Amino acid sequence: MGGRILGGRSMGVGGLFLVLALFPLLDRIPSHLDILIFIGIHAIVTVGLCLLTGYAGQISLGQAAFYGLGAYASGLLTTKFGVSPLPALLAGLVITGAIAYVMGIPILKLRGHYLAMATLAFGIIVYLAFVEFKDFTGGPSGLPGVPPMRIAGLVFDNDVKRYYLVLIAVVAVLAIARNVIRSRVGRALRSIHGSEIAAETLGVDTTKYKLQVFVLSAIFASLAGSLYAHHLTLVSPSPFGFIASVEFVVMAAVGGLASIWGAPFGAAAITLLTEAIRRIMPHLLSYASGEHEVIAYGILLMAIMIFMPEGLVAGTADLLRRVRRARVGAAKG
Amino acid sequence: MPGSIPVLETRNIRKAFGGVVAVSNVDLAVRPGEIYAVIGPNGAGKTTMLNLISGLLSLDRGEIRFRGERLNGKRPCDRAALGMARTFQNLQIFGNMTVLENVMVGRHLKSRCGMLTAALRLRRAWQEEQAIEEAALRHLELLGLAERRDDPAGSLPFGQQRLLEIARALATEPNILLLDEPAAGLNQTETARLGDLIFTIRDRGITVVLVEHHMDLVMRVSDTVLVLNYGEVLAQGSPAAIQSDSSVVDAYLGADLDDA
Repeated sequence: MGGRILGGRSMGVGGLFLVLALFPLLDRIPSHLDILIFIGIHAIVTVGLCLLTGYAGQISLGQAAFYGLGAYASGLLTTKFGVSPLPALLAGLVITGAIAYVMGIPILKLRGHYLAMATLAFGIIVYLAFVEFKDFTGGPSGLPGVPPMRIAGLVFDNDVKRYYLVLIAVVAVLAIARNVIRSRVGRALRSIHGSEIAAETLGVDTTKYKLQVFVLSAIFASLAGSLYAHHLTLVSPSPFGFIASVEFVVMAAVGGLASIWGAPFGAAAITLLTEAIRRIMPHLLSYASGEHEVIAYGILLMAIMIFMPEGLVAGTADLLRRVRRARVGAAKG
Repeated sequence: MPGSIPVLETRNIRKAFGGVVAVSNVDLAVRPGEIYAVIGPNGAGKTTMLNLISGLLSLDRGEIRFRGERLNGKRPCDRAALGMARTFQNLQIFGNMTVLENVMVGRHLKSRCGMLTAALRLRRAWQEEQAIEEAALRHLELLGLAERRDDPAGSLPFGQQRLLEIARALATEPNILLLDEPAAGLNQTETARLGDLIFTIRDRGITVVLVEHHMDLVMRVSDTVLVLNYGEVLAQGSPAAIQSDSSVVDAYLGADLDDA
């Protein structure tokens, strides 16, 4: 049974990947590529959050801080210290990972709402640091002039190139996440979610694994942040605030927390929704501002939690299965 | 043949919750290879004892030694690494996993693959996965659960979930197994089979500590019985000696024996 479903799924994944790989040849509208790049960047953060929350059962309402740390590490190191983009990105991963490690030691002792509050506070502190340390970060107006990513002589100076760069990064992150899940470590993470005390009494060092997955999710977010900085060539605080953290949680929940494969779909759904609202709202309400997105997220999240608690992907699959069964039933009757 | 040097010892241990003293001055000595039962009325401190021994609660006073090591201050996972495993009265099944995966978590200490090896899916990682799966399956077979291996653990009937917890604990290949009311919620046939299983576990060289209400089971399998009452030791001895101890009969056994 497992084999057949897996076969169907890998064919689906393969087909989807083919479409995504050929997309820049099929669709030449620049803004579409730009949206896809953002979907990919958001998906990278969401996969990390999915591991942290969906698998290990630990919540983070401050994920945008790690995203921002990656972006600012790349922005700062390239514009102010003359570091090349790739070493800057790698330095960003190390710095963000180290910050997550140090923060995680006290924070991950907390559970449930308390952990949510602590990560939220951490996110706000980091955001304020981006705004206030003007000498370094350029304050609210940010750091302009971030150079394009450059890897082994290849300069990612247009959207098509950057699209492929992000696509490869998403695939790599998904592969790493999949490998972790299908291992002793992945089982240890899920056992923490299932019953922390049972996990401990079986010898799982829950403190260590919680910290490791927290750091891994931060590193994914940092990678996404660096890609963001080199795509937009500008880093400013606004995309890394509390609302962004909430957006990532919504993306993970909409995609389905129980599976990393939902993450790209959740990221796509929310990114497209945001884009649609941004385009439609001004036509409906002349005074519309960014706040309307938040209302839409709220309604969407409530609807998903009520009607598809397992997320968009698992929920849709379930719906299709039910429709098919009803049809087979009708044919028989 | 049970040896004379205790594998597990508590000395003068005490635990209070606020003003309520749950365990007070309990000394026990479990010899290797024996089946050691802890009985007593509800609220006598039996489960608290197990939680103190396995490290889910910390001692107010006293000392616990296991295989010659002092356990005070050690985390539950460190105690597991020393060869201690347990089950739970209120089942702690990993409901988000399959039956087999539950037992595979029990192989955690017997495998080594870390985050980086896993992330890169090095050869070592998947070879180890196969070894983990085989060992886990062997323990499922021992408990007669192999047919349900791919089912969600939460879908098992209650009695089988109890067995699953035992399979998971045995998968750690412990020196000592702490069973917290394993017969609770089981019917007569299941309880009889549990008795056989406890003998099988002992015959594999695993010392068993059994916290239990079910007197028939306790009297059938135990080598030594410790009776707790209001957190203190009321009596300790062979099942026969305990059954004829007048203080135990007055405090606890009387009613049960009449029922039986």
